[in-house]
Amino acid sequence: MSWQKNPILFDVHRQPSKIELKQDASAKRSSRLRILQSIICLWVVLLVGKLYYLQLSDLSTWRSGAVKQHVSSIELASERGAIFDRFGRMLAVSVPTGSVWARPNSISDKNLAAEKLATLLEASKEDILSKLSSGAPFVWIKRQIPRVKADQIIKAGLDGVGYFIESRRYYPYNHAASRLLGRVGTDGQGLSGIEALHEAKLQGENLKVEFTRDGVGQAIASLETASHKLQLPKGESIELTIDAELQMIVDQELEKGWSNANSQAALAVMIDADTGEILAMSQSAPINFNIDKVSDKGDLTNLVVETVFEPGSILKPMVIAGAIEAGVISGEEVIDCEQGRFRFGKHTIRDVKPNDTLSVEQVVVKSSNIGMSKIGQQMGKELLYKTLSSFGFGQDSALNLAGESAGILRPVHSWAAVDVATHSFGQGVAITPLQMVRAISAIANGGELPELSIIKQPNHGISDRTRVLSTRTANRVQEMMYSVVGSEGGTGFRARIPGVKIGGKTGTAQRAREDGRGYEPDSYISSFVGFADATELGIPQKLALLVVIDRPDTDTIYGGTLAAPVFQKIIQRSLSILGGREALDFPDSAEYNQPYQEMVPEVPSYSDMIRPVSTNGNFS
Amino acid sequence: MAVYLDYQSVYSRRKPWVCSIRTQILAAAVLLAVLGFRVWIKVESTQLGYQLAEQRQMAIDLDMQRRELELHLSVLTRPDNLRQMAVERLGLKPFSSNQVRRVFVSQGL
Repeated sequence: MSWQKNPILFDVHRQPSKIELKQDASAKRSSRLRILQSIICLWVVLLVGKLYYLQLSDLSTWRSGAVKQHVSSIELASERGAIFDRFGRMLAVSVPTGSVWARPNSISDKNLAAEKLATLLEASKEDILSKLSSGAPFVWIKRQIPRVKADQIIKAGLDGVGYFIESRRYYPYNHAASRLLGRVGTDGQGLSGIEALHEAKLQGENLKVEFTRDGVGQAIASLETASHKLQLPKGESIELTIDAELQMIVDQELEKGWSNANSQAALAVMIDADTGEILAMSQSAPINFNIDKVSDKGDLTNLVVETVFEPGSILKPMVIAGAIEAGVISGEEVIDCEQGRFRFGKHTIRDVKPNDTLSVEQVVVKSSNIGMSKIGQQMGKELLYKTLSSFGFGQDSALNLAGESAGILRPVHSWAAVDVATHSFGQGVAITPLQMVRAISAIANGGELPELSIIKQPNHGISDRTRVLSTRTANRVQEMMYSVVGSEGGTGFRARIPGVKIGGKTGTAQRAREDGRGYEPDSYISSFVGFADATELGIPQKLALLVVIDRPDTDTIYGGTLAAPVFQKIIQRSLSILGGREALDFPDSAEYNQPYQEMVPEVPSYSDMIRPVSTNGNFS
Repeated sequence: MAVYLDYQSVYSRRKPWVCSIRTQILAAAVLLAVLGFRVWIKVESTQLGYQLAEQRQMAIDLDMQRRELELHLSVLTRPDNLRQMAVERLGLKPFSSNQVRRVFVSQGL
């Protein structure tokens, strides 16, 4: 090809043809399209890259960020389970309350706010003002007030003031069985008693609920997971063997007895002698967790569970039962009581009121220590130890209550010769109230030692008993105990209730020093243990009850004077309740409140002969 | 002898699929309907979510009230309170045994 063959190419002045223009425009457009295509491709690549970064590479970060923006979660606190008595009456229940808080930095006029809050909360304005002026960013104004009151504060429209819902434990029966139930702290955790023992069961598990929030913060529940969320979390309830009505009676009568005796402390425990179920457990001074502030940990001590004390004469029925059961005595013997003074090795055992000879029954009725020493001597230390062990002394009751003691029953190899005598009338050995009332139940129910229980169990009953005495022996000892109350000159006559068979035993023991070195001068423990058989009145339950008055400070210190009347009142009122809630017309007990005759030879001084048992000293 | 199948020529001879306008409109309508239905579902579920959240709050409030009322009931039905109300408000007195006659019913009845 030569340039001459196409001269047009060289004609620069020639106008381009339409085709040429079209081709030129097409070329330009094609070029722009390619640029646009490139830009779009680049944009798509960037977009895909960004999508990859957002959706795959850094997914978790962005997802969590989004969830934080839209999804909130709240933890619904589990409602603490209630505690009921044996008939489903509520003894402890958690109720929502309002805890009022303030953010002082958000309050412009602290003085005015303090004044309004003081009026609404019936509190001191100065106290509230000092909290608001403390400089802290967040302060509690008042915790656990009724929600109605907390709502009034919100309605008052105070800036920087609000309230949270908090659960508070209430006790509808006030101080009834308060130390057994135990206390719950401000944060809702059980601190003592049943509340602490069954913390996990009562507390339950909190429930975390997630929900979406819209732009203005309003909650939108998730449909996918909402089905179970109306079921609010709740701890399990516990049903005790306590009878709230009997518990109130025991509380009231014990408090009267405690007050009358002007004593340091007093306790009482009542059980069903057949089943071993604890029906009431009380101590003085009473404490009401609804209103009383607990400043000392000792205020929470459950004396019925934690106390050990030297029982004195109330141990005698068990020793007699062991002797009859083993065939050491028949119960029909006559014992020479040495006119009130009996030489035992290097020691002298004394009765306060001298006796010549007494039958075994009279030894119990008149509470002769010399008679008991001779029976103990005949038994020997091995049999005496075995007898006391078989009644559960020296062993804990398996209730698993905090602080429960096994008492002190020294191993038989460490007994001195005189211990046989002292143990037989209840000195030199330390027991718990629960052990004593359980042991007396074995005599009351015909010879079977019941398993104690405080938590109601459907299958708990007479099958959980261990035979420790034959029925014949148990009946024989029962007769002796009926005589203590019913016979002329019996030390327990103040426990009599006409129409009801009351068996019992009085006790007045010297109080051992806490360091174990001898006995406290003029310091006594007065007690009465017994049982009531009211089958003739149509009441099938046999009630066993122990009343202990610690360190009385009155003209008299005897168990028959101080503890027996309390026993009588409690049993009388309890039987009225148990008798189908019918009226049981008991005569006025005033006739039994005649002046106490000094007939109870229970408290000679044994300081020279007994190795006292150091008790835990927390009786008061 | 090898036989070569010319796929390109075979496919090129097929009648090209032609989507009519009507079909396109129908497809678009279905798509829109599906999308609309999904939006409606979302709106409804959100509304139900609001209601559910309200109901849940109401359930919590009612549960709190229940607990408060149970406490009140327990206090009001306490035997000593009932006794006090019976005596003070209604003027009742404890009955004596001569006001009661026991009726024993045999088991057959």
